[in-house]
Amino acid sequence: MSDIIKSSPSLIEMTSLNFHYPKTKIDVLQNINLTINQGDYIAIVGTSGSGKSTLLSILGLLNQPTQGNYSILGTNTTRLTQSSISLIKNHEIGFIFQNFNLLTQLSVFDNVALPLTYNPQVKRAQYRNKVLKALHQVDMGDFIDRSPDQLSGGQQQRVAIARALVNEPSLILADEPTGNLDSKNSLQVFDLLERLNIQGKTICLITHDDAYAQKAKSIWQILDGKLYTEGNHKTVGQGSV
Amino acid sequence: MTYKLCVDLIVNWLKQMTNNLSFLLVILFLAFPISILINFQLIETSYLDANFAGLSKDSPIRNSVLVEEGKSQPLPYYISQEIENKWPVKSVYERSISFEVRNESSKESKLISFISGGFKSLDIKPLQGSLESMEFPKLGQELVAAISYIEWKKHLKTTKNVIGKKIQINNKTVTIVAIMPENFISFREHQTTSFVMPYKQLPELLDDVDYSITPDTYSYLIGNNQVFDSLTQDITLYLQNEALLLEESDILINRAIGVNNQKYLTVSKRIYLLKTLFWLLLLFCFIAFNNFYSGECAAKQQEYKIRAFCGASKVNLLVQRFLDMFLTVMLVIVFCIFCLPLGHYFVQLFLPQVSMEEVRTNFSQLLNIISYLFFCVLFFMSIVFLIQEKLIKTTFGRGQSASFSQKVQSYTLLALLLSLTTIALYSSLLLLENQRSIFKTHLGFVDENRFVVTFDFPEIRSEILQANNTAQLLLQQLVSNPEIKQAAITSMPPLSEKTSYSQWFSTTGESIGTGAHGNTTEDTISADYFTTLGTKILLGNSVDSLKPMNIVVNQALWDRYFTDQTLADAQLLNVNTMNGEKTAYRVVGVIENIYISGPDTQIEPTIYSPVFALTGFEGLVIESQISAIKLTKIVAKIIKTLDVSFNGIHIVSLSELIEKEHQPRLAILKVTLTATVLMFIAAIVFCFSTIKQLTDKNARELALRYCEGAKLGSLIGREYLFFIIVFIPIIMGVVTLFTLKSDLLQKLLVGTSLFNITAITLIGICILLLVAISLGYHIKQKLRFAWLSLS
Repeated sequence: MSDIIKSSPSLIEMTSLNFHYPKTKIDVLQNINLTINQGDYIAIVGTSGSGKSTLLSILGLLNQPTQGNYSILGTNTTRLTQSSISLIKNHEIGFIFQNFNLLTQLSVFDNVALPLTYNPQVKRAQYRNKVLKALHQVDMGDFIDRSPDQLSGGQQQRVAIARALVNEPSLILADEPTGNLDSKNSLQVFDLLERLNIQGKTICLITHDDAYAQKAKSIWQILDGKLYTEGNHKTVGQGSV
Repeated sequence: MTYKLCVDLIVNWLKQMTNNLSFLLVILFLAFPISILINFQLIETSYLDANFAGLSKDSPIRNSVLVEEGKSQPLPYYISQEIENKWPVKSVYERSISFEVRNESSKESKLISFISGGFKSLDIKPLQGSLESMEFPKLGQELVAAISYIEWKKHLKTTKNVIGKKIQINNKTVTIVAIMPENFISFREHQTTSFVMPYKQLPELLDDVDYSITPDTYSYLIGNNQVFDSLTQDITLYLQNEALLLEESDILINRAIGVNNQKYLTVSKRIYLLKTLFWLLLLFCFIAFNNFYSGECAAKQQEYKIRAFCGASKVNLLVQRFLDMFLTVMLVIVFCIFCLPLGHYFVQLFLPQVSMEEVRTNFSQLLNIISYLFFCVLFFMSIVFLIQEKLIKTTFGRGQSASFSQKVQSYTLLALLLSLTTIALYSSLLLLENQRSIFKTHLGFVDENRFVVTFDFPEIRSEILQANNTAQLLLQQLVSNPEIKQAAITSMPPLSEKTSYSQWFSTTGESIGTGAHGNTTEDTISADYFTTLGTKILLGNSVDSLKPMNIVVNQALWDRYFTDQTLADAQLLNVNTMNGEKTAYRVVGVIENIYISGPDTQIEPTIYSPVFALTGFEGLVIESQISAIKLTKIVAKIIKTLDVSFNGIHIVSLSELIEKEHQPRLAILKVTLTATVLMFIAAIVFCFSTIKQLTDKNARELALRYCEGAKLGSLIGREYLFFIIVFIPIIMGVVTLFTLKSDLLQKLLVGTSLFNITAITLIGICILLLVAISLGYHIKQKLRFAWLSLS
């Protein structure tokens, strides 16, 4: 991994970034400048269609910007090959989705172990310890052999978080992680994210719920493809428009 | 690409498979007909593989038979000559008989093969000596033979100058001119020949100047593949045009070397029928497999997307895609291999005529079939995957709804499967009904404690024709034995495949009979034949050996030619084939119809005339309570005292013959039921799984409509209507195809109408009901969690 990622104080750095989908000329994201440091916990809020998920897809290296630069740990991702991008996704980014996206035909253990499959540095013998560690982090250690079908929505989301954590990534990208959960489970998930942040994980959260966004250290608002700072109610985020 | 990744992917695939029982079931359904078809292929190859005669698959030799009234016989000389004149082929005859062979040290009965040449064309080269004198023996030439390799190795390997050595066969001096090659065992399967002699020298060895072709002789043609193709197409028509062959007769040319023709024809016909049935089943299972696999592909696409988020590169995903397909195909192959013994067992049930122990498993052929299978399944799976990849768009976190094309695709496949199931169920019901009526048919005789005694084809005809008054003598000796209750002589014992014909006319000149040549079935019997067999005499009396001009007819003949006549006036005319003279015979009795060849054969008008002298062709019917073994000893002892050449006594109980006769029919019934049950279970499984997949995909749309006020009934009705619109044209197409291509089924349904629209409609309604239940259940289940599909 060290071959690809250079050491850098900032984890994410986006400069003058624009993006439009193929066959359309309208920029969904316009002139985005964003810096996220290690240990940050930022929330991006916005109305439907404002470009939240598109920004997250670029942050998660699922899409490449049409203009501008995007660097992770000082490495410009626009010049990386597909296999290097896959490696960064595997090592440095953990994804959490609204609808969990667990494979129902596999057990909790196998679901959490999925990212380890693509991590050449982890041997098969280490799987159990790593999976157990991730599951204990989300208080799901006792559910290792269950099928996702046998879990509640909140439990499924915690398994999904464990999967995002298992490779110990630098950045966790969460897209509406509580969208499918009730308020009690939602609170538990946000508490968990907060706890992870305290443990040193960088978290980038997308939500449309202002109350949950308040739990982040800094909040960003996206409006018609442009990113605005909403205020730093805990710590000032290093971002600019 | 690391070893660890491959192991991870394989382990994951295994875990997913073990949890996916329905997919395993689908693969099992696919493997079963494949394994049965592989077994059929092995049987066919075993029949067509003549390596026991040192012949390769490409050897330019074909079996040729004349088929008349379903019975096969070797080609008559005049037909062989005509074929040789018209086409560049050589006809070859082969007969194998056991003779006493003597040399200086031993005297043993050994099998001698009489072959009329063709060794050079077949590339059969002797180990020592020359086959030239065997190929073209001259009249009056010394008798010559080629010793088999096994015989030579066993007895004469240490003897110097084997070539030229004289031995005694059937008390005639024969000179050994060659040693056959090691790979020549015999010209007949499962037999070991000791010597090969020219076919032309057989009459000389038998001292029979008027020697003619016997039914146990096999006839072959040697030529080349192109000629064989032309022969196969044109020969029957040509010979019929030349008035050398009757319209109902046929010449068959095939690759079956050294096997019993009648058995080969029966088995190959049955295999053809079964293969058609199992190809249909395979088609059904394959459609079902693809249908299920399409659903699996959709799930896989979703999985690949999740894996991509977890860091899988394109190469990783490509490897996984290949591994998933490769392992699934391997699983199909493994299931097929595991099903092979099961298929073996089922084939034994379906083909009772074939002894599976005699079927040689050709492993290289098996490997070839498996390789073909591997690539075929892999190819089709790739096609399905690619189509699904183009059609299916995976989405994250936004719910899903089935597209119109997905619905059409799923419902079309389901409709096709259910239409095939409807036809399969309908065919099975027809067969069941037909078999039920056949089993209920009274055969016209009682089988309890009855035995049928038959003998081999007589060897030397000149001696047997001289026998006289032997019939009465034999019967007297048989009934005088306290163990035998009743005994009778017949030329056509029931279920023994023996027939005899003569020419009879009504007094108005109408030819009697329904068979070919305008011939009449005539059974020569002793007076107490009907009482021994338990056949009812409907009118008058039985035949009487003292009244040779009195005959008995069966009910079929009476109803057809003597309606409104009394027995006193009934007469029939017999034609003397030598001078064409007609003699009047009086009909003195009418008996119930005897199903001589089984209950599903047509009853022919039959005449029963009294027997006087035995010729060696007759059989016996005996009523006795002792075992067949004991009876054999008694009959053999009595036969020895008679001056008639009866060879190879065979005694079998009539009940056993009936059971044997029922076997092929039962086999067909078993096949049909097995195939139908499999199809029906598969149809239920696929109906439920397809509708579940579709309702899962369509969950959001259903939930939305439900939330907007649609009733459960209307939601089910809407989906059901969609299905019916797809189903109706497909079922109509399948039914039309079935009625157009139903010759095979028609052959099995004696006296049953093939097309019954009410029955088809009723089965169709049941199938539609199954779909309605399935739709109702799954939609109801989905609507219980409607909110989850929307929020």
